[in-house]
Amino acid sequence: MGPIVSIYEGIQTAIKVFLAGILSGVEVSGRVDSYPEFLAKFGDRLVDGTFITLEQTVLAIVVAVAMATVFGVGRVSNSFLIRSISTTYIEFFRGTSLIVQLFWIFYVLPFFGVVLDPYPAGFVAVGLNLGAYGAEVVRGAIQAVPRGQYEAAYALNMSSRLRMRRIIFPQAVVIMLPAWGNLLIELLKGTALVGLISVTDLMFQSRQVYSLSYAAIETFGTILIIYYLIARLVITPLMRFLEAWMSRNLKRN
Amino acid sequence: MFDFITDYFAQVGARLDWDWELVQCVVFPKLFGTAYTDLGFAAACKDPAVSGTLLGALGNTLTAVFLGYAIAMVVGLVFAIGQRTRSKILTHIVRELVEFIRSTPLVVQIFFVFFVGPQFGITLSPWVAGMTAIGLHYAAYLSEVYRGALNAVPAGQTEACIALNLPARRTFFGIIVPQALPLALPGMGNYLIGIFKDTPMLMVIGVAEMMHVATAIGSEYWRYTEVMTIVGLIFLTLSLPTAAVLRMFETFVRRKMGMTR
Repeated sequence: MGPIVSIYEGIQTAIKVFLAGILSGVEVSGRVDSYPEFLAKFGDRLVDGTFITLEQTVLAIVVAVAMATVFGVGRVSNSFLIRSISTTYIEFFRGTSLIVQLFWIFYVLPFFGVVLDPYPAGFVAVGLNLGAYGAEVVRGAIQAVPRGQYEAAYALNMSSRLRMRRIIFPQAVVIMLPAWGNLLIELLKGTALVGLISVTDLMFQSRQVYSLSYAAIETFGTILIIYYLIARLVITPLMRFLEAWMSRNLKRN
Repeated sequence: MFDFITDYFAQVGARLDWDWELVQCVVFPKLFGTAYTDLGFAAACKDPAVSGTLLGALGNTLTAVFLGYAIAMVVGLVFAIGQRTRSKILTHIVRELVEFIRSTPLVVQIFFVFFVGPQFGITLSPWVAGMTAIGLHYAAYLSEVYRGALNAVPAGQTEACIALNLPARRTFFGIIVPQALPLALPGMGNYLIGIFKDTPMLMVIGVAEMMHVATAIGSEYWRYTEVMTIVGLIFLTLSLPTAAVLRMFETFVRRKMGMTR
């Protein structure tokens, strides 16, 4: 973990140094008069916020994928109990808003003896919420795998668990990937709310920067563009690549 | 051996003891001058929480939903038609705009609309700014729904209209739209519920919807459990039946239109 953390911190520092280098000629006065001056003054905060948002996104993706897999498969289980637990989870988290869940986890869970810091509360809430939507996607994909695949696995005398693991699920993954692309963008947008429970993500930083500079169009315009770039230049190409890779992989075997 | 479990539940039970008087005071709006005691409510109720009551705020939430959805339906149609014109440039611009709105967070858009106006001398009230932001956000989503539905109407229908020499407007509104509507309904229903679940974001600029009032009450009495749980339950009890009703409505319309399935 050590080297990874230092590389990660190195990247952040490098970006800040790079930003400072470009803007080295800009004079910083009390008021914000131009966009370069705005960046020179508040660029560091926005970089910090961007990285926190990215961390929250990645951690929330981990939670969401885990929840979606467990409860998506649970939704098509033969056992009534597992099916109803999964349905309850999915309907509960899809039926209320992310903001309510976030506040509930942050303010009410402490009464159950579970005290979460803002940071974990943030990504857990986002992950649980999007995991419920993801579970529906997983269920849809599993049910979209052709009937013949089930029958063939049955004919080969596979147990239902083995059939799911080796035959059905890998094919379902290919079917569900395009839908996950959209979900991950929704998830990225969801992480903007963790700023409300004082996680210092991009949205939180933007409010701070705004209250210091009163430069609304610079502040909120910049972070809108940062969010857009993360969605279009990181998540979308990554999902495209994953789709191509998965379908190629499946054909080869 | 299992003492710690019983201990845990005893502790949690004590901490979860609801303050039912508080619940009575903050949930129901005061009925025109009726004293709470007349309704059989707790005598301890002060003037119903300085911040307002949850069901009173539900009215604001629903107003926001319907206003936002009305804006989204109209602007969404504009976005969808904008992508069907012959002009390539216009199509690209609208396409990118829709993509931009769809992939950036609604909260930030709300901030943007609310705070950018004053910089240019236009001060928007929280309601106007919030409705604009939510309306535009969902317009982008609805335009995708419309676009998909319009594209799903077979090209033969347009061709037949050309063969019959129908004017373009009549082709679109008289032939294409009625066939696209049942296809668009499921998506439209989902986003109606989506908009309902996104209204809490309006709290960030101080629109007095349910979540805003809930956090205000929470900090006023320093008790979050009751209000947060009740708000969650209100969301559940409204959104789940609405989803079921919308599903029934879809099948009804499909059957009316003579569509199978």
